Amino acid sequence: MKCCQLHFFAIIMMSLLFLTTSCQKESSSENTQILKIQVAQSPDILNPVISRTNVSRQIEELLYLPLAKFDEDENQWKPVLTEKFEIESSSDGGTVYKMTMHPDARWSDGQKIEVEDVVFTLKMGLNPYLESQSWANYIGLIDSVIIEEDELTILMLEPYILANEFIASLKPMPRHVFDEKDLFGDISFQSMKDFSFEEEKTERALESIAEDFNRYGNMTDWPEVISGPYSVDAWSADQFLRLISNPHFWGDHAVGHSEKWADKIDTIQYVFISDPQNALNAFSRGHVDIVHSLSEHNRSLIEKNDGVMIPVPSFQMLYISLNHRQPLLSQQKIRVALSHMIDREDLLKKLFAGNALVAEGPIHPMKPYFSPSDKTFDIDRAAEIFEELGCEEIDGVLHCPGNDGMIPMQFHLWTTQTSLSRNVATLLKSYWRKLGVHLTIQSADFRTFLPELQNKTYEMATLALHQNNLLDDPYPLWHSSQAGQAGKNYQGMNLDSIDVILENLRQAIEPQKQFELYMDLQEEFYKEEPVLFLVAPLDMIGVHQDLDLFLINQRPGYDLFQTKWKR
Amino acid sequence: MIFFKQNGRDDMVRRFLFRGMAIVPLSLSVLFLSIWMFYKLPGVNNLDTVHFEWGSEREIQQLFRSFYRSNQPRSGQGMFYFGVLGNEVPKNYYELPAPFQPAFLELCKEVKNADVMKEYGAWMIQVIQNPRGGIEMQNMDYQRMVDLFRSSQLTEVIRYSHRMGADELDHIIKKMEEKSGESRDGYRWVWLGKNNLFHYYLSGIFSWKNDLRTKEGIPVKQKVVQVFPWTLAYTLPVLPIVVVGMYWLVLLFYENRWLMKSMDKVFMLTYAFPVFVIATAALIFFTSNRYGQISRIFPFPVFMSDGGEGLRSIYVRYLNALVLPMLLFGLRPMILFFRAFREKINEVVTMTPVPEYLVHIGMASRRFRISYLGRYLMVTIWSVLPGMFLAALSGSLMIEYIFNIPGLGRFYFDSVVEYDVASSVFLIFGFTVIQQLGHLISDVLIDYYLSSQSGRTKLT
Repeated sequence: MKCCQLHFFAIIMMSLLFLTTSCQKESSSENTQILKIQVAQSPDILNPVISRTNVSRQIEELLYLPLAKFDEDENQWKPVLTEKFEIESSSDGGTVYKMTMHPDARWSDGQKIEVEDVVFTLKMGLNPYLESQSWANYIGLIDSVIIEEDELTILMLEPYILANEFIASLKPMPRHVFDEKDLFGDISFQSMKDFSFEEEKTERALESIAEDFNRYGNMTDWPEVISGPYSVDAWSADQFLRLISNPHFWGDHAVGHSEKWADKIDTIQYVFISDPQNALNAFSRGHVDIVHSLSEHNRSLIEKNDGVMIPVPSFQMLYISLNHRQPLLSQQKIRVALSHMIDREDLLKKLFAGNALVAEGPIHPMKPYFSPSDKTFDIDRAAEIFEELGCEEIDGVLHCPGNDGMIPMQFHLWTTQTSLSRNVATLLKSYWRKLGVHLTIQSADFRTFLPELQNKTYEMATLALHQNNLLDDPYPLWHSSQAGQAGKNYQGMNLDSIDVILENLRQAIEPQKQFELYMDLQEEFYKEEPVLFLVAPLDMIGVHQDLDLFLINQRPGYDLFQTKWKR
Repeated sequence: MIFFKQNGRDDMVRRFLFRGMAIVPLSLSVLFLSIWMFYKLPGVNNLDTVHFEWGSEREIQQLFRSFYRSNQPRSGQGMFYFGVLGNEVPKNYYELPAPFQPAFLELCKEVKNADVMKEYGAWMIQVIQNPRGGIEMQNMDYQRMVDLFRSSQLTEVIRYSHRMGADELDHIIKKMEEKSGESRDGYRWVWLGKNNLFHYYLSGIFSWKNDLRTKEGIPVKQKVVQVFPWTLAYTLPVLPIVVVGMYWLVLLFYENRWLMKSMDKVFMLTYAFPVFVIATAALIFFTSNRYGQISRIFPFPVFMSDGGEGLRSIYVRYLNALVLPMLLFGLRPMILFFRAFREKINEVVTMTPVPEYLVHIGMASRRFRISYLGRYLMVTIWSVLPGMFLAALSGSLMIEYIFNIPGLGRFYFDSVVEYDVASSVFLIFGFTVIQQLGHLISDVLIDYYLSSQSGRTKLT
């Protein structure tokens, strides 16, 4: 009997628990100054020197200010953390950057931001014990760093196309947080560059500083001392990251700056939802105000829930990588014929509902130096090329001459496991089958078929190219020196004409010269078709209609400093 | 499984010991298997050039240095305390980074001289560990170095080493050419000591130092403590309600054949649907804002974990959104218990004298129902308990994934998908141990009950 009573008691208690708390009202961002943004993944780290993901870079923009920012209206660099930021040419053909810091610029702990912080960041970027060496590549091009009466002069003898952008967008890190004993003050820039020191203990000290630096900005060690208008308030793994307005932000009071940040949003919360359907539902429930990676068929739901859909550039391009060591794909004419057999407009319509642009070459179609080609979907032209080459159809499969006689046009195509990648491959298969070119599609995680790309043992692969900078340095992707196992020229391309342009482009600092070389590069790509470019998808985002989103032509497509709530 | 013996208590002790002893080898085997599967996945041992932006020498140096980070296990390490190697392969094979091991192994087969290959391996390790110093080389080209280390044939090694100006390497290559074929065929055991992956994870699981860290860098144990309340939040209230509810439903109404048959049919139909189909359909339809009142009762769940909340805090904020996952989570055990109880009752009633007779000899019908039949159902509960226990702890992976609940099941799924080896291995080991312990407790409960005088009397 006791047992019976206990069971009933348990049931009643549980039922009460449900009833008493089942009418919770979930919080919504409405009528507040909170902006909630859905992103697919959480940041790897919030440290601009070593972070690698786009989400991290997006958030770091709010935490750390750069030295200068490019003003597209005036077509020049405008100081941000600096008071003076000048770029001059030196007498020996190099570039000189001269800057002084803004007198009001302060770290969030009240310490002054000085040129020494910039020098510390440059030296730290060269520390080989850092988790990422991406900054070191750029900093390694600097020849000297001189401080004279609060003015910093950076000299770069060898011209490099992205140098201005790198130096201007450099985000200094707080020297006093990492280098209390001023170790870096005693080490010259050149020693850091060569990584040669008289005492072995210096190297050990650098390793120890790097250990702290590598942790700085991760989930357990948020960046506390920052220079930007927002600071981290909460960060929960795989859940969200909340930024609040930095109460000690120097720009709120500085002359010439305060108006820029006057109406900034109080709180920005990044919500990590990887699944697009979940993200869409979160938008419809008012849990996020900006949602990414939407499709056209989501439009009605977004609009029904007080939202609007906006296309923003993703600076991503899909292409088919071709192994140039494969006897058929090494032939320029075959590559051109294959390109003619791709109906890019059809791809655009079927897979992106028109929310994409045709990608024709290595430059994204939304970049100002993009040059359109006269490439067309022309299956008859492709047939003519095959005929000129002496190709024959045998048992429904096209055979073309290689070094060792006729080789069947049957290729193995790797795709990633995303539905987009597989759909692209399927459509491609249907286009090429018309002339007897057969594809075998195999899907796998990118890391699974990466060794095939590195060893050049594959035939074709569906890949995506991501561009970020204002300008492009296409060298790492297409130059023959990068065709080794550790390089990103997965095609094994070794085309002299393209190599020469890439080398010259890397060293071009005059805008006119850069423009000409970009044109030449695209022209050469259209002629050689070393890879088959397909489409440049736009990122469709859903935005709450009360949000006045300030759109820009850079990732992620909007500037949060200039975004405001209308209500 | 259950034996009715006079010396049941001795039997129980024996079984307890046997079960207890089996937990250790079973759990360790699962640990080894999970490590083996992770480190044999093709994606784990790649030359990771995904983050290369320049393809510069610096980036390759950084890649080299990353192979020997002190706080992480090396994927090339041996799997266990001992390994098996061909006679032509030197022991320092295990010290090489995994992306270079397959080519090295092939080269060993060609050269067939373990001593020379040992020298070559040592040279490789020296270059990788300290790329900037310690090696006399006129022309250090890292791109070429990677090609060299991935060379699986002597001719390739000679080609890539050409013009590097590394005297020591040239000397070794000369030996490779001269002394081919000195090692005899066959295999040998190699003792690896603590320098192996199994030991790394085992000590990581049991030590207090928090060596095992998630991909985000937080200790795995801390993360488990963070996500655990979320799983308990929707499983803990459901299981007792389901068990107790079904227990009384069957016990009170087993004579009502119409009701039992109807429920059986409904449950059979429901059972035919996979849980994930129902969960997805519920998520899409109920929470989609398209069904007015229903959608308001079941809002779309967006759970925000602050990383340190307890059960109470979760219920205060999210109980409403947890109702649907609770209902779906309870569905399967509800059906399972109903069927198991009903089968048992039918079996017992068929085998025992009619209730009228028991009443005639002095047993009240209420006592027959609760004390007599109820005891049989209790034994059934205990036998199913370990599975339910594990389900409550690990959560339903699918439900957590579909509803975006940041619980243990979701953590486990994400860890495996994201190649978070430390988290995955820790969770797999933890779940194995919990399940084994559940079996043990279940056995003890059943055995203790059956061997006790009062329990046997009531059952026989």
